[in-house]
Amino acid sequence: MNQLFVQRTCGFIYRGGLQLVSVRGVRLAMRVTASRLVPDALAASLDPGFETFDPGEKSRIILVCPSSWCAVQPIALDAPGWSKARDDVMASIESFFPLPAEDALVGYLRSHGEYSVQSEEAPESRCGYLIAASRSRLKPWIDAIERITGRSVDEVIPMHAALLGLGLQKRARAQVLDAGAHGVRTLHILEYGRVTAIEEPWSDDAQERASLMDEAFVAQLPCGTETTVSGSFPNGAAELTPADVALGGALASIVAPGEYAPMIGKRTGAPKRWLAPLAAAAIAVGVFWSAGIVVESRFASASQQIASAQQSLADPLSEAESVRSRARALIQRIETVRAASKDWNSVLPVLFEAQGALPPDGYLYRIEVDQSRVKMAGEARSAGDVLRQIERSEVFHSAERISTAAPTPRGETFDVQAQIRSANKTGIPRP
Amino acid sequence: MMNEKRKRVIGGAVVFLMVLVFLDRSGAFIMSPGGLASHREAYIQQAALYSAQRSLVEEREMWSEVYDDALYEWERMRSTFVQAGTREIAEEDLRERIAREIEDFGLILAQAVPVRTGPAPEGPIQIIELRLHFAARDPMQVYSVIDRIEHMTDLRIGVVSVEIKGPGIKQLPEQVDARMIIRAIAMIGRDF
Repeated sequence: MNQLFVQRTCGFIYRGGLQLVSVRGVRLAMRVTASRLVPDALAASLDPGFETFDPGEKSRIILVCPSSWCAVQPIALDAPGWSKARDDVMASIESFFPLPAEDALVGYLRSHGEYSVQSEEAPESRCGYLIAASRSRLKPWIDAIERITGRSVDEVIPMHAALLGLGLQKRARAQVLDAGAHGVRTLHILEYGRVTAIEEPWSDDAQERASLMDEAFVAQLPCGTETTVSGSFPNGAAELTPADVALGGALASIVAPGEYAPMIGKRTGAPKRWLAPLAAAAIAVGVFWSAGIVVESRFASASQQIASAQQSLADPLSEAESVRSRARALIQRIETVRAASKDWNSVLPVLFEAQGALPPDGYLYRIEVDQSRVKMAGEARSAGDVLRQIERSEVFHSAERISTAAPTPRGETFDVQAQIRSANKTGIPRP
Repeated sequence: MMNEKRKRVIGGAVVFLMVLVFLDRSGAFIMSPGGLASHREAYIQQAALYSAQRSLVEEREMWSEVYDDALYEWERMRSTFVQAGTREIAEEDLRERIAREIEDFGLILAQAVPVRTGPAPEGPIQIIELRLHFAARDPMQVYSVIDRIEHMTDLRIGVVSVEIKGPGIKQLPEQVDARMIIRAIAMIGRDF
């Protein structure tokens, strides 16, 4: 009637301590009928090949406790709350189950959805179930397994927790029929592979079965009495074998970590939901931080390339610089000479223009010409005529008397000066 | 519920990225002491220098032609300088040369004095000046001398100022008195 599912479960090879790389394989569960449910007779009833099989160093041995051996009690604790309050709950476990505290093996299963236990203290989505079994009842099986494998059992989990590893994560809604103790069938309900309710009462009503088939995937756990209820469904129900359950128990901790706590063994931690955002943030920071370094290194690399190119250019560059510097020095010398002599204009035009300002009957006693001015002194019929004639010239301007005119027998003396126009001072630079 | 959660997540991500962008803009992610700007600035300067060097190498032929042209011009120009070892010798050479030119007109250079104003010039290219004094028969002779001096093709020379007295009615014939300052460019010492 009862079944124990012992599985030589998965070989976990971890790299970096975190990542599952492969699953080595799952051995078929051993199925023992009630008639052989004597611990001492267990080893003898097994095939010779199973008597001393080596599960391997890295494999884990998980014992799935049948639901018919388990008592279920809803509790308003979420998974973290269970971890914190486990000791307190265990101290008062007798108030939850009719089991002595020293004989109780208690596990936890998280529940989601509308089938969760209602509580004022905690939101419904954070409620779960306490699942207890008798240690003394399981001990002979645990000892037998340890004798066979030579190793201790790593985990003992209830059948309900093994549901998490059945691969129902893609099913929006799944219902698993369980033939419990004394033939009382119950229903376990899952949404997207997560348990929303367990041990729900099951009715064999045909209409209810039809509605059940319409709205959900239905599976049926193996039944030790070899009788199933699949025939009650028009299209049948997926019949789960002990191997499926064993595999589910092995994979439960992988596909639904943090959803349950085993009766014996260490609870698998909940997935670190902050890990992905933290990694994304770290990557973003890394990208921003490395972007500057990358750009800097590119500039530095480009600078090095330029430096090497400059080295290869050294000889022709030196020669070109030499030629250029010599050319510039010569040009500078030439420009210096040209600048120094550009205002060296001929004085003859100025002299002739000044001479022309003198009337035909006049006499020139003295004439002085420098870079900007002309001075004339002499005698003429009219000194004013000389002054006006000079002023009319295009070469001079600002003609003025230096001293007053004195009368002479032929007219009067004149002593005048005028400025030379700038056009006549600069002129065309000499070559 | 999911929408609210998504909004919070997206809002948090946006705020986080804004903080990152702000920190990036403020240079918090630059690890080197000078920062990215210094690397970029150094690269730009180096690239500009390299570009200029390449251009100079490519312009070598052009600069060679410029040098040849400048050298030809300089040689031509240098031949018009009064070249001497010292300034005094250059002034004496110029004086002797001017005296010969004046003698061609049958005149005698009565006086030729160097004009020195200010501190002694430095460098090989210097301007030397002479104050000349001579007598002529008429102003046209003086003009001819000036014309001769101003058109000496083998010397870069010019007349700074001229003072002519006569031949007013108070002067006797051959009593035109001419004074002038001339200047020329001299190259003192050896060519550099």
